Amino acid sequence: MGARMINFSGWLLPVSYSSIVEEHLWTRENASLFDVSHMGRLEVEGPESVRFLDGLLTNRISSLEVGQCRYTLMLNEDGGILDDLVVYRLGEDRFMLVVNAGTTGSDYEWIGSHLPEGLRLSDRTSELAKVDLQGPRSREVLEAVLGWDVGGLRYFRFVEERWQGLPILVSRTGYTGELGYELYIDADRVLDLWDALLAHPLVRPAGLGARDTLRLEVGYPLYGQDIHTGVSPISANLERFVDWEKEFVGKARLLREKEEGVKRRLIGVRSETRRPFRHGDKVFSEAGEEIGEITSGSYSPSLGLAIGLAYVDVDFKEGDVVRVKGRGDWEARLFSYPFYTEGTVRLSL
Amino acid sequence: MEVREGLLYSKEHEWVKVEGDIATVGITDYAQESLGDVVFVELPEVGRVVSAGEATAVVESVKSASDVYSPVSGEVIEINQAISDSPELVNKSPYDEGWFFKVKMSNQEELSSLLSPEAYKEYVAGL
Repeated sequence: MGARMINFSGWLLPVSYSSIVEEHLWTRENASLFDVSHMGRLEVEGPESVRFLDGLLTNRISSLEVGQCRYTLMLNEDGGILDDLVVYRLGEDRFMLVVNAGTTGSDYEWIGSHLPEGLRLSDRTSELAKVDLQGPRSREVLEAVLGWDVGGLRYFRFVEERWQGLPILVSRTGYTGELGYELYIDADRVLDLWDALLAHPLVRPAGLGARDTLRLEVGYPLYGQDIHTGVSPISANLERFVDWEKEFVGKARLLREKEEGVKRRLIGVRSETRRPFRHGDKVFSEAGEEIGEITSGSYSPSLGLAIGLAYVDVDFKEGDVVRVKGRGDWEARLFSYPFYTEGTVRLSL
Repeated sequence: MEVREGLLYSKEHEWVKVEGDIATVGITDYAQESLGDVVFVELPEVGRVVSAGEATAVVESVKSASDVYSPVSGEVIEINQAISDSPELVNKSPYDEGWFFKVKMSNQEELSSLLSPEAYKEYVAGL
């Protein structure tokens, strides 16, 4: 397909097929297909796996119904973020955890080291492939190609169906801020699904480059870049994914941090110029004091200006004027993301 | 990928068009293709004196940032404001509307170290 490829956590993946900007804008208007088979898929199964996962993850698992999934964080004892993941309740005592590519191995070990007797943990990454169909037109595409109605599927719900005789799991989830679906199918047959979806005139392939600019516009953090073991859900501005009413690994440390306050917190940075912020650029106050660092930055194709995420001293708030210094030196303002708010992600169908 | 006849090339993927003692500088089709969508360009001040091989402009795409080196020494006498306002011109028209700056050359012998279109084609094929 003439794609530009990069090595990402040991997987050879497409950065773009045509152009990042074109793929980005196409996703905001039509539907794009992303190959995200690099993401890890772990399964936890057995009696009381709910209780086990509730104790391991920050968000509540026990209230998930079968057919529902939820975004959550997994912390170490110090409250540092080991990973961000989506947990699917496949059955009463069976869960799929969709984790980041770079952390699949360490997650498997971490979960395994806490696993009580009687529960089973398996890594299904290589046998189960994953493609994402994202964009406001994705519903009609999916219905045309799969031949069944996904209209009733609400945000963060999934169905297990069959396509050409094969089991396929479809969830209404994604990483773009648009209406979209994530599809899981036998790795041996994923190319058939890919080709069938791509044959639809509203669908074009999109690479990791567009995936990155799309997620940044809606303020979703990227693991390994914006969040990692050096930050907690409080400093990463992800506290809404923490359920304080239950016990979980890392909670004691988080509570202390909440009481004492954090020094820096993740916030958006926005500039009227087009010059992209880059990972590692420093943020300075108007008085010239260094107050933070950019963790993700890009040109925003939807907005036509520079956007980024940065850890900034909590004394500085949205609207404050700052200077970003990297290869360039330019004025920006702190901004409460999301930057782009026109997305169809929560559209009622 | 187009390598245009009548131009000289650097190994850093700039092209030079020579008219008398004026050199117009831009980046090649290969360079714009490798960068992807150009979203920002920083141009030198008119009047700046540059040496051959000196970082003179900056070009940034969604994913990366690169210096643009002046392949010749001399004084910058004109810049292409159009690519500051519409950086996508660098992708759309790298050899025409997407030029970067013009240098009044102080040492035309430097041109002999640049590549011919054929030599540049071979060079790129080997990358």
